[in-house]
Amino acid sequence: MIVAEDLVKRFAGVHALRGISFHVRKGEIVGFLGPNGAGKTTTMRILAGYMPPTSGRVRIAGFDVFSHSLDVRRRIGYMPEVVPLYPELRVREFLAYRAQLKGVRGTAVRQRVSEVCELCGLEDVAGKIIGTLSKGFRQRVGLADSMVHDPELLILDEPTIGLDPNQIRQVRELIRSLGRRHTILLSTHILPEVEMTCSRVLIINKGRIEASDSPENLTRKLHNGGAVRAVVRAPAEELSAALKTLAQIEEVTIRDEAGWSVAEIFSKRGEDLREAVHAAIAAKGWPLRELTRHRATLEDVFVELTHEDRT
Amino acid sequence: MSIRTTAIQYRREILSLFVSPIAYVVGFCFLVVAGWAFYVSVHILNHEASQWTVTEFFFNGFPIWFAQVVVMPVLTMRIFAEEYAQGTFEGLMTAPVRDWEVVLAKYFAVLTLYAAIWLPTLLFLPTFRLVSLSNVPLAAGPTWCSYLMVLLMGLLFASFGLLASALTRNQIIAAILSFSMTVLFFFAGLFIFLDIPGPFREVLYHISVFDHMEKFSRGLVTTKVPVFYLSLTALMLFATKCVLESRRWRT
Repeated sequence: MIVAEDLVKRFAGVHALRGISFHVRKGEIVGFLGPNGAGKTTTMRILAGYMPPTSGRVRIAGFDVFSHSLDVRRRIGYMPEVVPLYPELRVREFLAYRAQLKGVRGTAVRQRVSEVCELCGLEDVAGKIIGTLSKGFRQRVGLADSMVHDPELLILDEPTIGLDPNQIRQVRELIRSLGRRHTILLSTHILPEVEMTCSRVLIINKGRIEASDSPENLTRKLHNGGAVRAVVRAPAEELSAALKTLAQIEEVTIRDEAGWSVAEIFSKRGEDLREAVHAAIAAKGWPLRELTRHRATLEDVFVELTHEDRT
Repeated sequence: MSIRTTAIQYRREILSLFVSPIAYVVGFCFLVVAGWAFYVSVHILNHEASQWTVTEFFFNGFPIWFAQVVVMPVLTMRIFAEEYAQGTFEGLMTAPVRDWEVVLAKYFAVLTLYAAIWLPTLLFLPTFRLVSLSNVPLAAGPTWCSYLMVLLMGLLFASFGLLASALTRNQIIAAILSFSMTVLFFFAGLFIFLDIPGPFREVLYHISVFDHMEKFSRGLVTTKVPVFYLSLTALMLFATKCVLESRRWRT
């Protein structure tokens, strides 16, 4: 659905994008993840045909985004970070205008407007003036706008920004249900959101793509993916020495917590160390209070890939 | 270019203009000024003999200045600047619309509002005739020619305003820009009273808005004047379209 090849964007000497290539297949929900200023919005604006890249090419549904801009724009629903709404219009008026502008004709306009209103939970505010709506409703009007012409591809820039936890959950549900019929590319920096909704994640940092994989695979590959935590009543040095005899262990750190030693044990290849650790401790006869395997989250992946002073 | 898409955008512009107070406030203020100026025109004619008709008095007086120099920049300043500032421009330009359609839809919306504020002044002369119960010589020709000139000026100064608004996201800057452009052009004709030599004076004389209005309000219509206004307007609209396009190559 999207094929981006080597996108570069320079703004007055600053490199916003330094050669980004990726593709999105039909029916995927892809999360675009990165710290602020990484280039997410720039990439999405290029995809939506708002501005061209300095170099590189993008094809959406087989059409070049710049030479066949109108064909592309008809097929995408784009929701910018700042939701573009006319505050003086009523919700229904605004959506009808946008539907017509994007090529919906005749009686289908009214039908599409009421469909998206229902989908986005806007029925009760459809007659209200947009300027009087709360942030959450405005966000949903923006979402309704992006899908009012039933596009093949939805590009959503931070769709849940500024929403409260309940609204975030609703929007997440909505996006997941939309994923059955549409291809979706969404950007966010809320990680649980990506883990819950997306089939694939693109992590972008400083204008480059750092990783592209499913959330599960990304967390599995992580450096401290198989870290184990053990709480043992034993002298720190002896415990450390005992654990270091295990072949699979890369690093052990131990700190004292009210008479108990808390050991963080990192494996070399993300293997599960719990059995081996237990055996080593049991052999010494030390009391063991806790033994847990740390489950890496996308947050860890994100921090590891994008943190400034990573080693 | 699609007429349908242009019409859809035009309707949205008109809706936005007429559900907000701008249209009514501007219309009201303009009518107060125009009505007062008309009253003054009649008053002067009541007290001294003049070679001018009431039509000439009205159309060469204050309302024209006010409409072009003050009202037009105010009507046009928000047209693009507000869309940039609210972020709606991004939504607009990522919909399947062409740059020309955007420019023309907005331009016609401004012209509609401009025409709407002048519309009530059509009642001035018939009312005058009715109230004065006199058979004052009110020739229809010069009156319609005057309105033609009002329209031509509106076409031109609206295009100045549109260009200014496309250049900035700040409405105040847009207003100041179009105000300055309008003032420079509008008052250029006054320089013929200075001691300027040769061909430059000739040029000023030909572009003098005052001179055009004076001739038209007397019923003296030449084709070179409409051609001049229309071609300059087309140039301004083209420039506006280029400004919109510039986001594609600007860094």
